[in-house]
Amino acid sequence: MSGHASAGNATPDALVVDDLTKRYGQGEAVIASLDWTFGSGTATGLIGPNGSGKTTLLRLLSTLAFPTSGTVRYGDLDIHAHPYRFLAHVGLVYAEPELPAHLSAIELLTWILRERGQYDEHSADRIGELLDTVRLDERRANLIGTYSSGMLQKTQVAAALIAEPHVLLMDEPFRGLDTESTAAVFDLLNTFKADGGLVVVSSHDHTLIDDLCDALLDMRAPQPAPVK
Amino acid sequence: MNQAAAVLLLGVLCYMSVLLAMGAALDTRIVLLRYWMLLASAVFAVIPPHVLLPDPHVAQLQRLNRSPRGLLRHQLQRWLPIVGAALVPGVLLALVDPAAPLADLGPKLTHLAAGALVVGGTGAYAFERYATLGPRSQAWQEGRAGSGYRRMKAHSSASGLLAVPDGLVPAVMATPRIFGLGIVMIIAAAYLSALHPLAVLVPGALLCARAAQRLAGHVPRYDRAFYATSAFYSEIFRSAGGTRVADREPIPYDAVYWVPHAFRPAVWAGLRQMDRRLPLGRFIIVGHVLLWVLFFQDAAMDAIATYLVLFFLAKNAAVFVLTRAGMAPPAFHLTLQSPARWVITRFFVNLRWTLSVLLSLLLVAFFDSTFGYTAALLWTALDVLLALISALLVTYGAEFQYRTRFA
Repeated sequence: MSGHASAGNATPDALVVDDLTKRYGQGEAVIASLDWTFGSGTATGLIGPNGSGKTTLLRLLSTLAFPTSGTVRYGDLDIHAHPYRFLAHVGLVYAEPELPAHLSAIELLTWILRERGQYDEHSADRIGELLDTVRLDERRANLIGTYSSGMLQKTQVAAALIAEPHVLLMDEPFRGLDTESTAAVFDLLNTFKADGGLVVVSSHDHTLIDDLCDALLDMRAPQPAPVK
Repeated sequence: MNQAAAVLLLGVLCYMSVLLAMGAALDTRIVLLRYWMLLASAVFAVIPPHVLLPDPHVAQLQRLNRSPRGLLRHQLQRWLPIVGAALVPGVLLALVDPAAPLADLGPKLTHLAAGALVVGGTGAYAFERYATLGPRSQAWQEGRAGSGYRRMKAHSSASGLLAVPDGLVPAVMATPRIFGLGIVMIIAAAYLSALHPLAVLVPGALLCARAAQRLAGHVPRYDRAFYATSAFYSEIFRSAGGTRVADREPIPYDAVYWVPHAFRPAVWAGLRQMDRRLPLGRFIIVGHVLLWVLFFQDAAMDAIATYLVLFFLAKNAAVFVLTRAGMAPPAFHLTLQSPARWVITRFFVNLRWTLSVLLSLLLVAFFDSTFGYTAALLWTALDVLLALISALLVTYGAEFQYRTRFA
């Protein structure tokens, strides 16, 4: 894409993708020369059929993959040169919920807050409120290894939000959620966005995220294009 | 299962170390310690990417957002137990001496320390090389580096030796570098020990210092090295996002003509998967070279026997890779064939390199009359037996247990 398309203003803490190309091996580019700005207070949906590059772009934005060429900057920060400094601002929901099976959801969130140096006397209450919001029931104290797929997804969403990030990167976050829980997570994301947060969310079904998103990026390779 | 295999291998190695050390004279111990260092160097030259990468905890590490130092500590915590385990046989070789435990204690401890420094230094150096290889490997994989190699590969008739994805070439090149460094340290230590008893410590100490210095240099930016290297190996090993299977020449179906017809499809599928996850050919080549070195050096038959048992165990234990969830979804596997047939399938997978073992041993027998053709056949039979036992064990841990759990 020539020039910068945008889902918001390029504020200092926007996520700016500049001439980003990613190929696996020496084959065709999965993403070719993408320019895009993910602005604060906006949600951008990545849509497209299976294999269109939604997960690849999210992996690039979350430093789980590295670009063939081009950069992604968060403010002045090249995120692939400084993953640690970037991830301090990020909450992640992965396509596959890889969570520690022998901890409870409460213990997981406690660990995240303690590890990130954000645990204080109010944290236990905040964890309880967040788990209430995502509607993870009293089984939140059970081991994660016993959770259903929907409960795993709720735990992932809570784990992404508990450290109060500025950027949320979510790969198919509504997969496995029932109707009520989906609505609850929608509310959560709208609030997050209204508070200035930056959301990038993928879904194979764009009708699901249409209401949430300010922009939709059609990922059909090789040239992702805005459709909203 | 892989941990159980590693513990079993270490147990056998320790047992054989004790047998070799019993009543051995100081000179014999010193030679045995050199073989131990050689074996450890060979292992460290190959295994780091297979045990460390891609890091299975990367999602959780991102949630916790470990610092560069924390990420390095995390990976070292996974690697150092392996280095520590590799030191145990050396301790046994040096110190197990029931008849005279205190005899020559000073020289024993000195040579043990020298060996530990070389083994630890090689382990640290191998870790540093592999753990920071990601950006370079990705450049090779995407054609931004290695153009000379690709030209050579295109015109080489020996392409079989180079049948790995381009991105793995830097790792393949690291193997002889690490192994070679280990050999140089062993030779240097042997040479220096003749000059002064404590000089034997110098090469290992220098190697440790150099490896530590290189690692320390990575600390401030280790987050980039960690995520880039894990990302590369995730792409290459897990085919995330569609790494093309044509990046390497896969084994053709006709190549398993030697497998009975009924098992051929599963053996073929197994070998294809295994080649993509664990290119065993490198290990087999290193294994044969070490075997020839032992014979060339007129090593004691006990040492050769120990080496062959370990070589066969490691070679056959590698089949556990095929029982990992990504390669052997048990529910799917049980729709294909019974657990008993999976045992036979994996037995044939293990037999893939047995002909090379037989030929290598026959070659040794041809040049070394003390070894003999009968011994070559008996050792090959042991390899076949271990192939069957390991197939049985890994299948028990996978399909048998799954069926029992849901029966």
